[in-house]
Amino acid sequence: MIALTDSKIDTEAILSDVEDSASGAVVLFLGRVRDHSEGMQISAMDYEAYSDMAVAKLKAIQDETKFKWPVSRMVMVHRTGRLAVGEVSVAIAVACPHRKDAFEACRYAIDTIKKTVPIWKKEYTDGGESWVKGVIPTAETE
Amino acid sequence: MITLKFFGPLRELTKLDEVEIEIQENARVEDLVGLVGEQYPGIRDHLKVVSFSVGNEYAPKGTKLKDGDTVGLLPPISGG
Repeated sequence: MIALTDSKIDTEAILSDVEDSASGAVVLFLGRVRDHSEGMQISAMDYEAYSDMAVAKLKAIQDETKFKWPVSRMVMVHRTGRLAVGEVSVAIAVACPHRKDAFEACRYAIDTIKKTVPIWKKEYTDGGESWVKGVIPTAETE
Repeated sequence: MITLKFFGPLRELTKLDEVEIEIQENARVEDLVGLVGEQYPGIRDHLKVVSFSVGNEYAPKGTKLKDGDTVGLLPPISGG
């Protein structure tokens, strides 16, 4: 399952989605809004996505991850809109027969999201608001 | 005619989500930098580090544009 959502990410529902009796390992990664950035206090964060392309890129990452590791179930959800400190901005759950593969697959997925999925964030701090310095996207998954 | 889509700081500075523009025959993605910079001088600095998409794929600068393309002007990304 892949989704972009402007509603709170339901981690219990995600864990239910990766339920699979043949999988001995489930890794759940949650990215959350930190309360600080370069010495500044953060009060909120806006996430903006190029929705169609972001979903296509998330799908490509999922396909690639399943190609590289024996993944039985996988869920990737990214938030959009205004998030408060502590809220979950991205969730990835991977179920595999064994833990080594589950950890590696999940790590690959989040690292590749950061390099390829067209999403931008703006932070609100006590010093004002600013777009977070991003990375030039890489065209292909590795 | 192509559709240009703006995101993040580019959307904010131009106050536009998207705009339709005429392109020359055989125009390439890289030609948009000059064209857009002329029309929206406020985003010229951002255009130096922008990436492009055509449809849902990243597009190298040399990609030829065709009528009806949807082109994204993508600032450095910061998802996750």
